[in-house]
Amino acid sequence: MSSNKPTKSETVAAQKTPAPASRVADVMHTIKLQDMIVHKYSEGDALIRKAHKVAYDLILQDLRPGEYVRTKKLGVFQVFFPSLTPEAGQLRCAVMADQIFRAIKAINPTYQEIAAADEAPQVPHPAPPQSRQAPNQAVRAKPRVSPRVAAPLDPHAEDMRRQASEAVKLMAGGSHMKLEELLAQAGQRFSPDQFDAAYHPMWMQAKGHVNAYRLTLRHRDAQLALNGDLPNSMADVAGILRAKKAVETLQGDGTPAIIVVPIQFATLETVRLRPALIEALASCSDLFSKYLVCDLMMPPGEISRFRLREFARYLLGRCRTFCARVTLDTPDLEAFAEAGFHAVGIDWMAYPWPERLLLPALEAFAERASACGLNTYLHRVQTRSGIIAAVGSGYSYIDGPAIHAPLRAPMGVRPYGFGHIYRNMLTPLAAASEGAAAVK
Amino acid sequence: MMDPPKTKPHVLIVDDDDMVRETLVDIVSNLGVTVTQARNGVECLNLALSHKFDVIIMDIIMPEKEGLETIAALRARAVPAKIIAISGGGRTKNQDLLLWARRLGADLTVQKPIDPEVLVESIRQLGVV
Repeated sequence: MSSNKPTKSETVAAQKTPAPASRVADVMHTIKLQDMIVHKYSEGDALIRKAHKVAYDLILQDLRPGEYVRTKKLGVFQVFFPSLTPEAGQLRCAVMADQIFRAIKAINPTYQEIAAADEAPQVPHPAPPQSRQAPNQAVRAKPRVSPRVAAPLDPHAEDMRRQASEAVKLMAGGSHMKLEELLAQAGQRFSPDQFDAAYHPMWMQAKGHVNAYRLTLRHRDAQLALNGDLPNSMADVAGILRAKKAVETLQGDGTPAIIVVPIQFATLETVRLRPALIEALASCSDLFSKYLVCDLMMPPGEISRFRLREFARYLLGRCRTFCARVTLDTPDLEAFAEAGFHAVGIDWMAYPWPERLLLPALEAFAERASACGLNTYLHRVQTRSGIIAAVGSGYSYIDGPAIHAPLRAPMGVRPYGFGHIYRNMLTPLAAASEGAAAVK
Repeated sequence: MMDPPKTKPHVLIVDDDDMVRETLVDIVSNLGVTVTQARNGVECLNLALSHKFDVIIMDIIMPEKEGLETIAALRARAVPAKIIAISGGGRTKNQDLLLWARRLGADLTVQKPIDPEVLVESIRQLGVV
């Protein structure tokens, strides 16, 4: 701290901003992993080494131009925010620390176990859930290691945790203005109020009704809406918040329906973006979760099975079920079935092919998915022929302009059948038959 | 006095799958009828409005203009031809499609894969041959 020159252990995010020593004291913030993970085991240092790497990567992802991080000691990071006030820097650091805490918990459940033990030190350690337990972690769960007395947390770290917790609460349902501020400080660009929502009625043909509404958000700034980087965690969090409101309204009206919310794969994959989404999902009531379906958008076709299972775990138990929007040539649909996905789906508009080519391809996809025990859905169907082909191929859920125009608000579960699709043709038919009867 | 010459019944076969269409042509030709082919609903509608057909054998799942819409359009335009809707089998798993074909104006429905005897019997049932 005595010099402003970068050392070997110092990483500059983009461009280092020189600052006088007196000012550096104001803009420097320290994150100590030891304050977050009270390691009670003899192998605590090994855990810190793993966590250090995760935290370091996450901080680097989070830094903006002019900001930098320095680490001289295992588990200790000095983060510099030259352009922020000390208060803003402290808040930013708190959010960052919370993200780190969640990331290392998510990556290694052992940390979660330790955290649980911190809260109730007298209670024996519960075994981690079977699904999350790696083979080498089973040994750690055994009581052969006697916990040491937990060291009291650094008051500063406690304060950071408290602030981060408040930030997350705000994200989950508090003031949007605060949320906007917080997310802006966390590197996010959008707030929920900046989006227009549309609900697309989804036809479940087998049951003969519209029982779900697919939510899409469009940024009010047309330029941003066209921008390829629009889908980010903010849009996903905004979607959850919008869906929550919609479900509450529907329940108030006594006509509950399922809301399908898109979740960008990048949001779940990126350690920096994931916590806000998970927290928004986790903060939802069971009643809301019962009507929420997450639609994981475009996971890579070549994704390995263990990674897909990992992403599915983030959604499991936080929503009614989850689906995946994939491409027609996704090779391993079995992986989605194995990871617990309810359905895989296709975006009709992503394939501007002649129908004589598209329809057989959709049919082949449905057959592959069906063979794996997966349901299928087809989004944004534009034509009647597309709907009939989807019905004929066995797609479970269909939506698009050919079914119903998007709505500004969902309308609950409604009966829907072929009669609705051919309504404009049935009327002249009925008139013609009435005319014929009159002549007779 | 001589009876006027009896014209052959005219059958229109509508299916996007070339192989299925050719098979249907083979089956129907044995009945001594004139056969015309169309690959989708648009072609069918154009032909039906410009020619007189006694029977139209119509697939349901077709690109561009599917069978149900075409049947409704034919009936709305008072095309008098008898219509046999065909669907099912490997690609079509939904019976509702054939039910709706009846509601929209098909006279008979036949499930795929098509049994030639069933199809011939259906055409006879309509009194065309």
